[in-house]
Amino acid sequence: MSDRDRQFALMPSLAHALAGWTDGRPVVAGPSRVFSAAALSALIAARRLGDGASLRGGVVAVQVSDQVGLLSTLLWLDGWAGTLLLLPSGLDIAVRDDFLRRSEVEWVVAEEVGGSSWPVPVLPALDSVKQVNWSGELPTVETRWILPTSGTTNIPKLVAHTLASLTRTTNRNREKGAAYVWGLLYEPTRFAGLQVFLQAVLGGSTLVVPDFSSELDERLAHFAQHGVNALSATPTLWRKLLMTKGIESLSLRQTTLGGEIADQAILTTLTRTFPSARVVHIYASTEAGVGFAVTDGLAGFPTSFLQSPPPGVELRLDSDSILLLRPARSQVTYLEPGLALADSEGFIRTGDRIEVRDGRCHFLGRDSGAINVGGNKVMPEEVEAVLHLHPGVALARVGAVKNPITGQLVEARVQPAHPPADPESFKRELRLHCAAHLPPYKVPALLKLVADLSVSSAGKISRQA
Amino acid sequence: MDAEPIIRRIFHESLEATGQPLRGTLGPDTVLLQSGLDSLGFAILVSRLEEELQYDPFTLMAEPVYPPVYQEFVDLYNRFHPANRK
Repeated sequence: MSDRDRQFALMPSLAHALAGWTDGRPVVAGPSRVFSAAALSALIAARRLGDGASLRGGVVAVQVSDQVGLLSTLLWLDGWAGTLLLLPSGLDIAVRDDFLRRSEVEWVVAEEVGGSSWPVPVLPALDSVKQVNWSGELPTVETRWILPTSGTTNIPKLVAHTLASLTRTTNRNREKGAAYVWGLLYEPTRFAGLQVFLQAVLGGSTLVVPDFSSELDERLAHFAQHGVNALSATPTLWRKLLMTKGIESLSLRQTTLGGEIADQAILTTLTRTFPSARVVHIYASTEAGVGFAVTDGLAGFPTSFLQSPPPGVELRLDSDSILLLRPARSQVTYLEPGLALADSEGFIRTGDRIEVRDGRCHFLGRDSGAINVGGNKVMPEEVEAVLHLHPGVALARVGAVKNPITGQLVEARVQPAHPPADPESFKRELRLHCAAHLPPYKVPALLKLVADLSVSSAGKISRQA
Repeated sequence: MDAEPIIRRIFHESLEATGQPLRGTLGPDTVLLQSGLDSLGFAILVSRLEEELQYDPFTLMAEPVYPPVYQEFVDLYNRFHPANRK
């Protein structure tokens, strides 16, 4: 018996969840195809007994741009591959190959078998296979999932999870879950999309997958057609959805918010727009690899969580009012050492600053000063460095301004090297300069020219100024 | 007081800020999210209008509404204009 065989046992995997699907409802309803649990189970068995047999226990990367094809691939690989690396489509080849090397990938499952110059053997992603006669159960393994995270720098980090750590806030009550139909708003290669897929499969709810190249109102029409009654989105996307024709035709029973600070205004609006919906906001920390849900429709979380926390985590504030988390079982690790270090008691610093007000812990933002523009993180230093490249800039300070649509926007205060003849055209020039170096969400949306930026005694630009 | 001319000017600035061209023409019935303005552009529009007009109806409203078409967006700004509230 090899080491690989030894670690196999009947571990709970995604495929096992399909066994609970006995009433004929579809598991996945895509733009053009609908999959039942029986069809997916047949596909899983055919791949594991067929061309995917040799992937058992191995390190497998997945890059499939067809969303339904991707979901069926994840279903047969979880519990089968020892490690699963989820690659977003359209990834730069050099970055992709770096990921493959760092994760020691042995096989790839992809749509295009040729043409993409994969350095390891490739298996095609299939959604129909020849039936196999198999009724038994194959021993499975606890698959390690590796997901690239955007992080606050431009270099994605690889973070390892298990199905258990990915589904800590997942509701597994299948009886209740049968009443929900989830609509997928994010691609499953993104953390937010993966969470919805896992919730649907493990909770026994149908997942409706739209054509991601279509307009938002067309996706909502597809959702309405399939009876979608549960959606998960960032506060920014929720505000956009509320402006989109067709949202009113969905009878939502569950609205979930995550990825950004959920303010009271959006929570109240969702509560009033969908009176029969449960409004849930999720707090998740990439650093700690865990999260918890707040279900009372109020911003922040109750201070009582500090004494009696939600399941799976313990919460604490440090002397700087930074939220510390201790996962019940530490199941997340960075592949690169030294990125997330727990203190001696196992608490991990989340970097999220808290203000205690009226019995609630409110999120103020990131300790690092990172700005969250609709779920995209911006480091002020990066934008300041770009501004400092411009010869007309003596000093620049970048910070966040509150915004009712994206939560925050980037604001720059600039001390010109010389008083500009035409301040408006100078500001325009600075914006163009930034746009040439930065993606649109990092370009200062607001630019103010000031005569004098205060500098601290240590010679640093004061962020409080 | 009609804020429309200012809104129109900053609308075009916000499109430019996100590098998007205007889709079609900007009229009363223009669907905001089909005009070329994305969430970021919309956020920039609201923040720059606040800078210029000194108020933000989205934070003044007890319960925010998200206007789908241009005329409703303009009406919202006019309704909350300090000169029109008295």
